[in-house]
Amino acid sequence: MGGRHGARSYTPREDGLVVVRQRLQQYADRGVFRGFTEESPWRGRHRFKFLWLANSAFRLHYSSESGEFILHDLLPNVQVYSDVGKDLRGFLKGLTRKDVPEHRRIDPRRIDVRSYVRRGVFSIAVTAKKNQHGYAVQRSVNLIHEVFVRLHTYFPEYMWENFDAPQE
Amino acid sequence: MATKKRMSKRTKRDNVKSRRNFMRQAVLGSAGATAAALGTAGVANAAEEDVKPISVPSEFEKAKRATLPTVDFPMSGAQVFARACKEEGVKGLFCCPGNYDVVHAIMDTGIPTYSGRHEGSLCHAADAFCRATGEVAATSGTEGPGFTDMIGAIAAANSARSPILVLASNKTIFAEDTEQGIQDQYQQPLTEGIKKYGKRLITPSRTWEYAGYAFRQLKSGVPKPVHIDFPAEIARARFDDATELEFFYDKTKYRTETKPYPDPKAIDQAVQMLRAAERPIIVSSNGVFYSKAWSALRRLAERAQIPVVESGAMKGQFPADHELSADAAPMALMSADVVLLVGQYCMPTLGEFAFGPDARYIRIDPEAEDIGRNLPIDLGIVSDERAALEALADAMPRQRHEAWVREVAQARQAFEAENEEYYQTGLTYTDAVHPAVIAKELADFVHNGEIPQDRTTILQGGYGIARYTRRYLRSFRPGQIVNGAYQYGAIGPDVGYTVGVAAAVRHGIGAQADFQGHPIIAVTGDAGFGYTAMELETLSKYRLPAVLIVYNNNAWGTWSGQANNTLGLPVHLFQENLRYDKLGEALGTHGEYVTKAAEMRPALERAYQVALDESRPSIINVQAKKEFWQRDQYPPGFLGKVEPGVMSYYH
Repeated sequence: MGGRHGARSYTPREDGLVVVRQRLQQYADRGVFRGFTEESPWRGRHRFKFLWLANSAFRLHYSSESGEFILHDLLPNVQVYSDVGKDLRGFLKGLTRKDVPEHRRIDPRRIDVRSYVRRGVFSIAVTAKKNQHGYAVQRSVNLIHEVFVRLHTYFPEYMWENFDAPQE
Repeated sequence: MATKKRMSKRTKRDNVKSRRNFMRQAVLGSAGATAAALGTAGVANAAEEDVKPISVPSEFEKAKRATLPTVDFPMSGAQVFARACKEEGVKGLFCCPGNYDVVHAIMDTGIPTYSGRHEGSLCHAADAFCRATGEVAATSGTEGPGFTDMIGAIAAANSARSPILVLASNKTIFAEDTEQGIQDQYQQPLTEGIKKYGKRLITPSRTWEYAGYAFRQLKSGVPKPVHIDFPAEIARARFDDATELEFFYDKTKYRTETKPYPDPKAIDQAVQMLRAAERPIIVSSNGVFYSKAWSALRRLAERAQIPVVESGAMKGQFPADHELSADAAPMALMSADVVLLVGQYCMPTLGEFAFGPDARYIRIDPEAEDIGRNLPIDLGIVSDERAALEALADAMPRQRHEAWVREVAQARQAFEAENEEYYQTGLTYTDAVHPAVIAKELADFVHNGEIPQDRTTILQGGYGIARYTRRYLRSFRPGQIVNGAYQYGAIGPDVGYTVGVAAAVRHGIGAQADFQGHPIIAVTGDAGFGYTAMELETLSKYRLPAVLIVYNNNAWGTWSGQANNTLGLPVHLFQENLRYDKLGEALGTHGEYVTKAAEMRPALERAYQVALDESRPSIINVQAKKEFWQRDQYPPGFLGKVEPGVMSYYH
């Protein structure tokens, strides 16, 4: 649980980590995440795991050095030039457009969002700018949700095959 | 209106010619064993072929004109129970032969009764009747196989939270366990987990009392099936007077019509949450329908300018053409910050509805036991839905959420634009009829033509086709749309459902009161059609004016996931180009076979005309092809779902 880190003192660089822990813990406390844990850091990244929209845990890695969040191994079996891969890249890019409602829009002044595929696994990286850690973690969690809604809507077969979504 | 115009002579001649051809082929093809004819009196050209026409036995008309008997003591157990059904306002009975004592006793009370070809299908009919009317319906089957035929349908009704009263005869208590004769069975264990209450009656004098047990359950809280089985000693028991029955008194003494009212503190909290919200939304579900809370819902929504989206086993509690309807604005749902769930009995888990991770939830439900299940709540309110909505509407200050309403409107426009794009794409596929074309043409016919948009009650079933029709069809008044297979996910109830919806509209029961007698429309797929198709005969013999559209893509909906499985694929396929329209004709319905997009609207108009003129069902067999589900070849391919709203499937 995030609470085990609660007694530590924080340097300014760690403030981001406090915010990230706090925000993620709030989702867990509200029952949005069915389960939530923080694993020991690895290579300078703080590693959070949470159960939410799928039966396997999501992994969010956070570097307080760079302010980068990585939604690690978010989607399996996505090839770079597959329909799903192309659609999601376009979708993420489109989230900065002015016609996206402001509360859902990605503000490029506050965060950078990029996606990448390695060995057929789709991940999303969000980098907080100007100490916008709270915004970044909130957008990261919402991005997972928006990506899943999109896949359920336009690529149901992908969700059946990879997330055991019901076919009916 | 166009659909009321008489068909031209030319059209009529063509139809006759077509029917004659069919007759000839049918006779030749089956050595004279099969014939179809039209109308109660039959058709002359059938006689030309020396084949007797299909006709409804004269006994139907005699039964319609018969005077109801006066039933009073001495009464049988079946008659006692039937009296309870009548006094409790059971509005319909759907059955197959069997459980004769009870069925006939109920019919003697004047409760409209429909008998079909399969107990499961008729149990589905009872389920749909409840969902279209908001009233209780009974369903009956004989002991043993008749009862077990109903199991899947009871389970579906349980998932849909429908107040069906399942009645089944049973063998005698005396011969229990002996396997004497046939059909001996313990029934109650088989409905474990798919009913609200069940009882095998064993003490004749308590028959009335147990009717009270049944109706207390059916008429309160969250509705679900109630299952009563009648050993012969009960149904045939004789009571010379009321002293031979226990607890034989009026329903006002054994149950109450009062409802749980909300805690004022909880209402205050809800008001605070809604006032603080920037983008609140109301999810209106089954409980709003069954508690007839649509006026209170509208009052609250308009007072605080809160958009409303519908989920559930039926739709129409909030009109789709209202500026606050978010039913066709699925991509706005993710923006909601406070979600007020009202009467959402079948509760999804997080992620099954489209609301985002920052949304807060208020849930109104009559059962405290269910609040907090699956979906974490920020506030739970135990209450009858109407009472809570009225209290909220009274307590809420006037509010405006203009930006939010604009966002919903923009999402609606985007959704409609996407639908139009799908339709235009569908029109480019000319070797078969694309589902977007079927859905758009149907929606234009029932909503945007000369039929008033709120008139036609729709059974919105099917699997793959539903993913399209649900995007285009709208509901403008309570009970206008009955969703097909709900959370139980049964494939195949649709023709059974059609019987129930058509009966509800014929009699103008409950929510259908203002639409009595109008034709209904039903949609199904070819896989589902196969399960309950014989109920076309039921529709026909009762002259129920239903237009049933069958999306015929030659395959189970499951095929697309197996497209590359050479060995396994035949499991998922049918023969191609099957003539379900001819099957319908052979069972007494009008038939249409549509193979091109341009034929869809005229076929709908002809079928609707038959419904109007002859009060007779039609089947429109629309020839599609399975490859339409492949997105890379035929975009947009198989569509997914997001709940709630137009794409709401399970909850």
